[in-house]
Amino acid sequence: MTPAEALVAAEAPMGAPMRGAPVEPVVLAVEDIRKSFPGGRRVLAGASFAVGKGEAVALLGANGAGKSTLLRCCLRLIEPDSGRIELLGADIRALRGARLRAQRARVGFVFQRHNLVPRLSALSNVLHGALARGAGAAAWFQATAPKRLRAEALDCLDRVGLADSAAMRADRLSGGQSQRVAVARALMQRAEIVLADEPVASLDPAAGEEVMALFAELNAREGLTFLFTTHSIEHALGYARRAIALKDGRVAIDAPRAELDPVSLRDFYERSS
Amino acid sequence: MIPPAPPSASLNPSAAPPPRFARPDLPSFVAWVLFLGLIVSAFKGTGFSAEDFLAGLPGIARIAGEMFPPSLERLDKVGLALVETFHMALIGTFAGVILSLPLAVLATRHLTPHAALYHAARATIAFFRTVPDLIWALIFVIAVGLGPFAGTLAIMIDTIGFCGRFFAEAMEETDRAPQEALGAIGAGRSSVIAAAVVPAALPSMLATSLFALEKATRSSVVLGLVGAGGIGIELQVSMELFRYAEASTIILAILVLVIAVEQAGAWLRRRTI
Repeated sequence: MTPAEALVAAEAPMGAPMRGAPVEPVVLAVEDIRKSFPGGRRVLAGASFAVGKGEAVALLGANGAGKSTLLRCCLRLIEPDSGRIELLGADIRALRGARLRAQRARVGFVFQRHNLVPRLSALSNVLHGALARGAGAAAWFQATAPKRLRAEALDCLDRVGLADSAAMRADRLSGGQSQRVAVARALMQRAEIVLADEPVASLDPAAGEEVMALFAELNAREGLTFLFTTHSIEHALGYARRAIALKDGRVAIDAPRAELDPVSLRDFYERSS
Repeated sequence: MIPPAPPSASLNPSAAPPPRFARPDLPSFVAWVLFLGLIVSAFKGTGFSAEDFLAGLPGIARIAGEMFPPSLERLDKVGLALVETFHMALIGTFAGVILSLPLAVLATRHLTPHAALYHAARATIAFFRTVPDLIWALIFVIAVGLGPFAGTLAIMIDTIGFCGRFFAEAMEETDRAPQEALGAIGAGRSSVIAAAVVPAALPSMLATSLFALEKATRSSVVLGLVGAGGIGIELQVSMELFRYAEASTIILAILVLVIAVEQAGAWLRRRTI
């Protein structure tokens, strides 16, 4: 019986979850994170998991399961109510001001909607990744950036296959291209881990596959640690080495890809929604 | 297909039609009475008289007759005064736009570093907007003496009041997603403003700046009447000495300048926004 089948058979989502062992060393450890929003809506109710260096991990769950909130809590874009998050060796909840910014700078965050600055070129948007490294005003616009930074940004665009579109305005790129520019921005950051919040949700299927393949390639080729949320069981099983499923704000499944199968995961989804 | 309307004789609705006008309640009735009383009082207060207006028509006709043909005798001096007027408008607007940028950032709710600074910036902008530019000109004539510098300072303050408010509104209306993305990678406040907020608000800010220049051009004509430089003083002297032909030349020159600035502004807006 697979972990998902076991969970479905037991019909006990609030019980002890199946645990998948992260690869050592651990770069992200989430322990007992809880978060409720005004009005008393509880989104996270004690979620715990860990991600090891170089892993590609999918975070699954029905709408409202707490995937996006959990991912944003990891970077303190949303403040959790309680629990502990150790990110790249630091207790992220204990950091403030410049130290929090410095820790965030080591993490790439890819949003559902690329979140590029629309009127700036693809190259300028990629350059913004260098803001994470304290480049300051030199990384605001490609026109005023030093030669070394421009070359590095162009190289990042090249790594996502968009060097030819460096001068194009972000609002004139396709959805898939825009998301690839967002990935290039994370590469420019020299991020040690990339968190991606439904990175292909706003893309058509072909562009979505293209972006997921890019993440998988960067993970395999460059050892980039990658944690992404998705609704797609196919993406979770196709591009992640491990899948974590949330239900009612807690981790219900945490298992390596080899132990999961699409049928039981779909069943889990149906029961969760 | 829409069925044809039945003949009016056959219309027989089951309910009576509602009244064309709702009967006002007591507060509305009192408000209407007060409003009408105010209008009547204002007519009396301003000495508004159709009889006097009709009596003055021959005078207007006589002045109009003496204005044509316009005199070209002092065309060189009028030209120089016109250039000075435009210089006042240009520099006053330029300085005003530059100075209103930091004030607008402080007056933008999600960008201001502190609530007290937000309220202080909003109050300053409101004060600059509320005091008419002619009053500012009178103050600066006393402070720095007669001449175009006083007028330029008056235009600058007026522009800060105008642009500060609209720049702040443009910044508040920008898409927060790219700003959140830069914040997520550890960019500081100044980088977020320069690299994400200003590029997004730029079209609106540019349009506002061009409107400010048009407004300043019209203002700079009037400021001369209080000795703050520009072509206004030339017009005042011509009118006081009953040199109506010369006055018509000045009025036509002002018309050309204002139309030229408006057309240039409209062209620039079309090209850049």
